[in-house]
Amino acid sequence: MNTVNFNVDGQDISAKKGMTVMEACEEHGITIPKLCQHEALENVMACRLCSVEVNGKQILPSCGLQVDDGLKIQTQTDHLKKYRRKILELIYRSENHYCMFCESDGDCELQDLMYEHEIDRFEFPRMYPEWPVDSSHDYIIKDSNRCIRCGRCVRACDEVVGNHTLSLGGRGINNRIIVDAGVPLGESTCTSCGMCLQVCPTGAIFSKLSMFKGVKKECDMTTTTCLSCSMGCGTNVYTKTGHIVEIEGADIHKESGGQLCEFGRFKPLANKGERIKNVILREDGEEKELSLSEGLEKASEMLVKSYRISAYASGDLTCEDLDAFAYAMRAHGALFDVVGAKRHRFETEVKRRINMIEGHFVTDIREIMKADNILLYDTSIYHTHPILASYIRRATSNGTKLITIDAYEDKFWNHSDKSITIESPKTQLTRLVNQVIKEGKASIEDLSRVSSILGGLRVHPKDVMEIVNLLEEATYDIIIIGDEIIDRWSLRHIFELAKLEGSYVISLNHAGNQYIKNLETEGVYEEPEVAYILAGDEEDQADMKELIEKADFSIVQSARRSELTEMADLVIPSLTMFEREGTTIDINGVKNKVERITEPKGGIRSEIGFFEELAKMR
Amino acid sequence: MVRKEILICSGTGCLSAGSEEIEERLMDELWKHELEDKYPLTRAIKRTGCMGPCNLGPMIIIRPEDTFYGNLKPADVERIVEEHLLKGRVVYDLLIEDIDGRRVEEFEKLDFIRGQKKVVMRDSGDIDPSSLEDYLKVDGYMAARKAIMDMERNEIVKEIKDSGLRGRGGAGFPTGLKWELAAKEISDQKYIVCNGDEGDPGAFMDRSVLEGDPHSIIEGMMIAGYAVGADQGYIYVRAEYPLAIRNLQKAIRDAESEGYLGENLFNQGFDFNVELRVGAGAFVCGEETALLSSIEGKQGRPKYRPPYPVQSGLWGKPTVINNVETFGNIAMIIKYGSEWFRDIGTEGSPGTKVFAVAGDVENTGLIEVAMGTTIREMINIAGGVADGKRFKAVQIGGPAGGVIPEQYLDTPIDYDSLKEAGTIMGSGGFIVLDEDTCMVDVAKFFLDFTQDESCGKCPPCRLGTKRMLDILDKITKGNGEAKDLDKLQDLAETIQATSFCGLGQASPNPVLSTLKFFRDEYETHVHDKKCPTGTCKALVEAYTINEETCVTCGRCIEVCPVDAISSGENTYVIDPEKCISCSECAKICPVDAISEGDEK
Repeated sequence: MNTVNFNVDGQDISAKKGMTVMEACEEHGITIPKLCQHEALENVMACRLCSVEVNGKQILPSCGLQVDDGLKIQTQTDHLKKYRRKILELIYRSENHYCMFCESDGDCELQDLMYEHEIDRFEFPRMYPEWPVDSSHDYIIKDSNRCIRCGRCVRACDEVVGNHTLSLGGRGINNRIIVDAGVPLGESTCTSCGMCLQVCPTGAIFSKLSMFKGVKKECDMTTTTCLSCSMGCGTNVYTKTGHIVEIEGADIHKESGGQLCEFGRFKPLANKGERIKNVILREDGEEKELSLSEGLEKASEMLVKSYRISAYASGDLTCEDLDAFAYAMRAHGALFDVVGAKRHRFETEVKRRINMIEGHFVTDIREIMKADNILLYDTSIYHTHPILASYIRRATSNGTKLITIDAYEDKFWNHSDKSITIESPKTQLTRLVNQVIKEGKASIEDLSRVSSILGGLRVHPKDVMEIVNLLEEATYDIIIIGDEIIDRWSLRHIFELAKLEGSYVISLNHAGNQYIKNLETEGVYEEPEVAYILAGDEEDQADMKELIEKADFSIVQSARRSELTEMADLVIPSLTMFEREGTTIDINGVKNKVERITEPKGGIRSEIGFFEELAKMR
Repeated sequence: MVRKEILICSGTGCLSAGSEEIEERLMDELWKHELEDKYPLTRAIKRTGCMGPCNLGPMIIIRPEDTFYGNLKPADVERIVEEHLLKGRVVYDLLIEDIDGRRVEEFEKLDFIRGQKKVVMRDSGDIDPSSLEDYLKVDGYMAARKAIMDMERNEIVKEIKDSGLRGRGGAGFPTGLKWELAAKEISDQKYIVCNGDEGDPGAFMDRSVLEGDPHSIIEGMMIAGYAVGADQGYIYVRAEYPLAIRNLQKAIRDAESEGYLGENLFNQGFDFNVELRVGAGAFVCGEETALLSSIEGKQGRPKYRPPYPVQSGLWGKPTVINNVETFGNIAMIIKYGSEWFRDIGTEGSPGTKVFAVAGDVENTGLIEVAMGTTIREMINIAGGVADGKRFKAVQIGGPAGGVIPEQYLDTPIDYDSLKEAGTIMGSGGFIVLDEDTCMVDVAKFFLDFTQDESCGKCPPCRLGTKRMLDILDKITKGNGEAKDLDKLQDLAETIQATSFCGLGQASPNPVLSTLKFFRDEYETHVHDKKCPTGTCKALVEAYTINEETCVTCGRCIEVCPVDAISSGENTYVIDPEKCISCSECAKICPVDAISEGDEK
């Protein structure tokens, strides 16, 4: 008995048990007006527009009403229409909805409903409330004058992002969206994920980077995969006449609720360096522009005549690009490495050394939300893997205990149950915890003794005891290791702790494409003759710069001018994230498609072709 | 000589009337006359909860003879001590004059008290609320003892069910049924919640019970906890009730230290604890789902039902949530049985109801009557309409209720009859309005309250009530248009049909019921731009003084708040530019020489 049969507007409908009337109706092509309901969010039944008549007497919101056998639903009675028109007018006339001055004109759910209900004259005068416009944020403008208080942004910030930055404040007519305890958005705990503007039905929250670029309804939309980190978030990219207008999360029905992070949503649209269109050669203090074929020749000349070649690629490329680059570099006898691969190599090494089986590793990162206890080692994932960070925050809101260990600032301080900041060496704490667990539950005195032996450790024994207790209490605990941990000893201690406690491990590295785990990488020469760096549009270039400094001759293939390209001897154009085409592998090992969104605007059409040529020229 | 006991009402009303000063003076006097040996000071004077007749405060009762002195001034204390306590003579001129002008000696013989039937308010005004010992003296915790030691859980539920007790929070849901549903739920944890978020303007019965008899509520909750299998209770009180909070805190502490709360109560292996939660004063938190959200630390906004709190309430666990007054009845029902309870009140609504009587009556205060008492009888208990004026209407049920005009005066007070008359029981607000009251202004007052207290979740309530208020405002300012009344009706219908919670759905009621019974008054405001009672200042013309009748006594000059009156040759003159039409001068004039407008 998993289906129920009921009647909507005289039409017999069957639907799965547990569905709401609204969902069932939408499945059968019956649309019910709504403003506060959003498929990624909990239904709160606030806007009352979706009210339907049930069994000829009650009026109930269809987004909250569950389907049941024999229900008789009317969605379009005269009464309902009258109520909807009245509510719409109340909403429209109570705030400053002047469509022609609104950024969301054309992309507004309220506007659509006003047209649909043919409301062209009004019973009530405008109220002209004066709400301040908050434009303090780098990317987001919050204009309460166009806010209909549907609370979608608040729910998104709570339920999906787990950040609780936005909330509803004030009662009655003074009800409004407030940020933290009433601070401007730019000074708040906002993580700049932009989920609020994605769900906003009107022009109350919108992106500065998409302003004046076009109406989304008139854009082409392509679904692709974000390459910024290994979470593999689906993105809907809106383009108009070859320009990107806006980027939205595509995975609305998945665990991530369609969220994107700053790097997926805003950074690609933010103004970055100038595009590199030609090959640049720096010789004897002079800068020369070369054609692409001249550049190819120069590069192959340098590669052919050198013995110690280091090749280093960004981790945010497609599998195909990485393959092509690796092939060309191997052909020239280079040592090949990718961002994040070093960490992976250490991990494999440590795993083999301590006999750590694969079963200890979480195969699906969404498991985070089922854990009783999370031990987060290195909190930099707050910035490097924001979506994963949101899963942790959501888990803690549902009662999961969180222990955080960081060398510097704990970025999860307001979610953490036990926050430890230890200065180097970080490993000592885990070693201590290991020891305590091995010896069984030790008393505080024992711990003091242990810690005094270790000496110099600035952790109070009580803290250690608390961690031990938290780990022992949990039946399902997950240890997450951030990508800044790169020493073998830290990894070893954490893995040993996991083995002892029977914990599961999520290990993150800095690469966006986890294809690096399948690639043979061997590290790079410390002091190479030639360093060939495929940077793409990678932003984090510290390793790359280090490599260039030590090389006699450096080749950088990059999409945009940056400090890195200024240091290089030979600069070759590259593609941006949206010009690439191919596949990428996310942290769960799933292969996702990467679509070409915009035609290449730099000096190169395809990197794969370029590297094929380069491979031949040896 | 019998040891005397002086009860001094220390309810909030009397405290603000100055009962503390009276108490101080009493202590001084006792000391002066060295009576402290006879009446050890602290034990001779007992601070009690609310005694009921609030406009007689500050008041004391001297026991054992039960002599009642009200409206005391500090100067009266000396005489009471010297005459009454030392010489044993009642101070006649300090006794209260009852409605017929007789001076009444004993508290129980006051007309105000005689008409009442006290069940919930049984101990308030009788015992010291901060003393567990006092509560035990009036058989406190005996009902809990009986329930936990001698009764099966389902027996208790059955007893409450049989009693026919209905929720006193306003909606009148059968309490026994609620308990039965909660008892049937299988869960590792259940909760009992006491709703003390009393928010109706002018209502203070829950406050008085919590202040005057906190242990009775704890006992009621304990019995509920035992009956449904809950071991944790929460009392949710508004932050605006500091005395209730203080007394409850003391009561919980005392009960814990004396073993009436905690583990293994009455050695029957039953644990029960009570915690206090203080609300931040949002009216909507009186709605049960909003209240539970608030206890959980979330924003107080109503949630969708089902699931009902008895299935999934506080932190998703089965929760029984009852009003203060409901819990106040429990111990009595267990003690005397459901039969006894059914004998009070009517068939459909057994028991009593406490009303906070306010407005234009002689004696305001708390009145507890058996259900079925008519509205007319209620008004008589309160001494009738004040100053001999004509009765116009009574507003029952607070902002969610409506007005009842004269033709319904013989309506018995019970859930069903009030509903038929177009209002609701509500939490027990009872505001009597005399002929000088403008009904548009009454509607505006209540709507102003609800629109301010709307949580803001649903547009019909958040914005609709604001629009209705704007229209009423327009009407009372003399800018009303013919279609405004239809607009009001239209908006009211939308708000009623589409609002989420009771607060929203009921918010247009004060407007609808005044429109129903007093439409002509609205029309006079709209069409004639006149307020018949002179309440809406914008519609009242300046006052003038009739030269011929004026006796130049000068009283009007004294009362005029804006100095608009000056002396002319043979008479006084009102400057129409300055006059704000407050009507104070007309009221005070001994020869009725002042009237509105330019009438001669």
